[in-house]
This record gives sequence, structure tokens and C-alpha cells, in this order.
Amino acid sequence: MQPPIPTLPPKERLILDLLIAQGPLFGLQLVALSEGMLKRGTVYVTLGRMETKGFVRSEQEAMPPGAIGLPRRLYYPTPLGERVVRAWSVMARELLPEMQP
Amino acid sequence: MTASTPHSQPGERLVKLATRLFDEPTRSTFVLPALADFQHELQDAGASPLRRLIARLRGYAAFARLLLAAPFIVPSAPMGSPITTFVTGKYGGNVLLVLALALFAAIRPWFGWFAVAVVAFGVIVAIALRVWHTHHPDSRGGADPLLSLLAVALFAAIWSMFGWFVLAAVAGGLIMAVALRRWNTRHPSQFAPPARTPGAEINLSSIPVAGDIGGLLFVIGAIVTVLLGLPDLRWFVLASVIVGAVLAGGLFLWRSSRTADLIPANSILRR
Repeated sequence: MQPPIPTLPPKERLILDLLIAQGPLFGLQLVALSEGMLKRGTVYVTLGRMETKGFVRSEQEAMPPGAIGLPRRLYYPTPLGERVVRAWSVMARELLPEMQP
Repeated sequence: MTASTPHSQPGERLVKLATRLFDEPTRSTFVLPALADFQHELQDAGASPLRRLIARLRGYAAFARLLLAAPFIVPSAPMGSPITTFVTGKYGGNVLLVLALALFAAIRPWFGWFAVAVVAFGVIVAIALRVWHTHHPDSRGGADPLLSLLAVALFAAIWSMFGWFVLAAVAGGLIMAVALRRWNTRHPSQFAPPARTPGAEINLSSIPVAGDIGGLLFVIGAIVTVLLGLPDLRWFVLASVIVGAVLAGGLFLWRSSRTADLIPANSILRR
């Protein structure tokens, strides 16, 4: 039995598009750049799911000496995530020729 | 910059709350990144009280949404957290203990000293089983014959009070046990719980009964038992079943559309 083809819901695609276009981002930066598409209460759940699927990876920011507070988590697109976006765009073009992916 | 000091970081209480509510993977993946961004947003708000208040309200609202959503999106999120362990006990025992005590308190007027004797005898058996398992940690299921003997003794003791209902319960239990055994033999569970860390689930003869066909059979058996024992409640039970089925179906559809990759492979509907 073949492994299932990865799915790419609209919010995950938006996150990958932003990460590919803007570079590594924090969760709140993704929310701000999404113009209301992403909510700050659920973006981390979506990012965690994408990390499980291998679409993004994350690492904690380096805290400067003397800094206070929790270190934020910085998210990067993975090669798999970039490939999935490309494949999804090709599929969208094939299925909907008039659609601009 | 922020007016906070290292001793009064905003969000510290939320971190403590999350520590009690969620397991470590959920905290590190979802909760702590959200709180870290919350703290930095507060720092970026500067000294303006209004901007800080708005940032706080938005952060608290986001955290509340995260608390509400996480258990549905990540079903295992609350498992292993201190509050879950406190409520259910390591083996799901605390809630059962409270329910058992409430049950015995309720039936005390009808059964008198028999109920007290059952409690005392049950405590002794529980302690003996605990001691036995502590000394024989690798022989899982070795005490099953003792439990079977106790079950037979219990049925014999209550035979005079419940008559044919006891016989029906025994027959129903045997049928359910055989059905469970046959199903698990044909469909071995793909769920591999970590060794020596059993979750809060029912266990019948070493067959895990959770969100699978075993759980479904158990629920059906429980409903049939209630209907047999309390026929006056049949419409209430029927309404409860319908409402529960609608709620379960709604939750399943919602989770299927959002978290298809995180649903355990051995859920009832996926089999």
C-alpha cells in the first residue's frame, strides 16, 4: 500500500507561501502578514501540525545575554514543504487552468 | 522597554497553568511559542498603558483559544499532564474510586452491612493485587484467575437479589468477551502505548479497550445493561445515545477536516 499523498489545506499553503517569500518568521509575524487569514490562537497548532508533516522546521531564537522572557520559536520552510507547494501549484493549474496559483 | 522585572514576567502564570494542563510535547510545540510571542509583543508595546492593555487582552484571548482548541486538535495533549493524572490517576483509578464510593453510599440503605463488607473486601483485594504486581512486575495478567474467582463469588452472592438478571449479565459478559477476543485477534491494534505507562483506559483480560471496536462494544454493553436494569429510563437513554452520537459525529467530521494526520489509526470509524 502506498503512503498517503500529503495534503495541503489553505492555511498551511498560506504559511508556506509566506515563509518561502519572506524567509524565517515567528508565529505572530505570520499572523500579521496573513492579513487576517491566520489567527494567533491557532497558528501554533497549525505550525505544529506542519512540523509533524515535515513541511516546516523550527528552532528557538538565540537570546542575547541578559534578555528576559521566553525564547521565541522561528519557523523555516523545509525542502519537502517547498516541493509540496510547487506540486500543489502544478495540480491547481492542471485542474483549474484559469486559476493563478 | 517593558516595565516587567525578571521576577514578574507577563505570562508566567499562564506558563504554570499550561504546565498543569498539557503534556510536555504540547507545551513546547504550541503553548510556549505562543507565550513567548505574547511576552515579546508586550515588550514591543513599550510603556503606553493602553497599548500594553490591548496586547495583554489579545494575548489572553489567544491563549484561551489555544486552551480550548488543543485537546480537540491534539487528542493526546492532556494525557500525562499533572491535572489529568490527578483526576484519573495513573491507571484511571481516582475517578472510579470516587464513583465507587458514591455508589456504595447510595446503596447503603438497601444493602446495609453487605455494602460495607464489599468495600472492605474490595480494599483488601486491591492492596493484595497491588503488592502482588509490585513483586511480579513482568507477569501481567497473572492475577486474572483470582479476579475471575471473585467475579463468580460476587454473582453467586447477589443471585438471590437479582435472579435472572445476573444470569443475563454473565451471558452478556461472556459474549462480549468472546467478541472482543475474536475482533482483537483478527484486527491487532496498531496503537503502541509506551511500555509501563498505561493510559486511562479500561482493560479486560489484557485487551486494551479505548477508542476502538472494544470501546464500542463496551459502550453498547453498558447501554444494554442500563436498559435491562432500569427500563423506566429507556427514553432518557435513547435521547442520550442520539445526542452523544450526533456530538461524536460532529467532532469526528470536524477533526477529520482539520487534523487528518493526527487521528490515531485505530479509531472505530477508520477501521
